[in-house]
Amino acid sequence: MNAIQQEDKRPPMIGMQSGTSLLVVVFIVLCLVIMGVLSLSQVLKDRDYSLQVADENRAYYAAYSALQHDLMAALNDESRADGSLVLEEDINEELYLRMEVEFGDEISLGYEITSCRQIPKPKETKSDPLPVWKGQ
Amino acid sequence: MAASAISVKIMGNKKAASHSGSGFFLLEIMLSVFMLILCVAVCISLFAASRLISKKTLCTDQAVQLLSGLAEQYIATDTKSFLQEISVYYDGEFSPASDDASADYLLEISVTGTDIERCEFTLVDISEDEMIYEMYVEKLI
Repeated sequence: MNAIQQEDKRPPMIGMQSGTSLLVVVFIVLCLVIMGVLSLSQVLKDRDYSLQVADENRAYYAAYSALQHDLMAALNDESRADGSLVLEEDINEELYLRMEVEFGDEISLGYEITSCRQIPKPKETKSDPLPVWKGQ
Repeated sequence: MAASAISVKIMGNKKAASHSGSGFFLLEIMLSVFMLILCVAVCISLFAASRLISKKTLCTDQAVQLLSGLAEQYIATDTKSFLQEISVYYDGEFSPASDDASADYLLEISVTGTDIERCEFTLVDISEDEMIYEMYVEKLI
């Protein structure tokens, strides 16, 4: 009986009570899930941005190619006058490509591309005035 | 005699209570481990998907940089291209590969047209047989 009483007098486990392990696991699970979801969302955003850049790059060279066709049409146009010519082509909803070409006899090749750059389109400002009461 | 019987009864109850606590603790541990395994399995799949998408994104970025540089070089040259079909092999780091066996990516360049030359670039992942990026540029000769 003395042995059993001594066994019952064991000190209790400090910090490891019933429910502690479940709480620790719930905390670990929450951390893992949050990290996984954050990682996946960030990677998906990166992918969307990368695909957007790739599409814009492709659109830029497509616009440049279209400008080359316009330039060829202008060169074949016999009625064009010597001087400068400005060609423009849309890249997307926000940008357009502007190419300035100089024609002249003094240029050995017949033309010279003086500048070619992409320019943001001017934003349309909607004039939405406040309604004014005009008497009746 | 009666006192010893009572003490034995009390000791029996204590023993039963201790056994019940151990059983609950064991059940709790089993539940915790099961939840942990389930969550780790889900999270590992999430991390693996993230890594795969990240690798593809990096590959697309590298391809866009590479092909943009080549397109600018092509535009900058005024002369007519003599080569019609070019194939270049790249390794995993997008450095030119010494041989086909160690290559991971294949870049194909084809030039067509007379007055207006059209140069098409296509980058293909050889191992997965998947097209990564393609673009074209035209220039007046």
